[in-house]
Amino acid sequence: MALNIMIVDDSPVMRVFLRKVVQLTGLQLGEIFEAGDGEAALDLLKGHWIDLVLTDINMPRMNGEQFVRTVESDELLRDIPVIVVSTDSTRERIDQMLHLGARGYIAKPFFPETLRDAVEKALGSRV
Amino acid sequence: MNSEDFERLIAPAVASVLESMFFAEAEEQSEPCFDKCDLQAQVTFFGEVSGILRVRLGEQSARSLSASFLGEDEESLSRIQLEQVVCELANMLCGWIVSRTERDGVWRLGSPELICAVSEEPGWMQQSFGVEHGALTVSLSLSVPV
Repeated sequence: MALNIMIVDDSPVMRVFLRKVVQLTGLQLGEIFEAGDGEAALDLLKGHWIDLVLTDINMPRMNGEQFVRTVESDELLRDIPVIVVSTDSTRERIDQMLHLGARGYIAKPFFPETLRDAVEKALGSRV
Repeated sequence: MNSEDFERLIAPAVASVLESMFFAEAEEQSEPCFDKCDLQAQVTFFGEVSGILRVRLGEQSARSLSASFLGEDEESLSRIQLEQVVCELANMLCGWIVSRTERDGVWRLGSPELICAVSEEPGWMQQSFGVEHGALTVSLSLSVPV
């Protein structure tokens, strides 16, 4: 089954980079959605079938932490795996985001294989 | 973080970020070569120690790195895209360094911002690295906690 993926990042060039890396993973992809912050991402989640979300933390309006909290508190959304992609590689931050409900954490910079591994782990048998 | 941390971490930070995200290499300890068309971005960080990290690149170097980062032809890239990539480069370098010096502390990064290319005043730490078509210069200024 083709996977619909959403990329949430306020940097347009980072969204382009992530889109390219996702396309290089070899995963069977459907649509790739993009949002510039957590609020826009929630709007897309409520209107489209999305299998996985990649999100930054440091964003305007609704940051990645608030976004993960909101997804986790919503019965209809909490099964959608969210992977955090952030420059913050401190153990404290990683643990915090995983505790909030993120299914994976990728610290920037990263090699493309790291993203594929994280996506496969988050989606399990659906890949 | 202190000046010794910057000197110890800046080279591995540049190497790691360029290798993995830009598919590029940097030569250590290059002479800076500044031009009025340079692109410069800065990121402010707040934590036990706060400060500003700046990244400065010549336009041709920025174009080359941006093309690698975005998987596009150099000629197809707009000045705005180059600026956004330099901001992202500053963001990643700052996050890489601060994550390794404030491991147990609470810190946060401001949003990267493009600035008019300026020469840093006394008190700034600075190192330059050779990249394609020029040099990448990274500067850091530390301040008391905000």
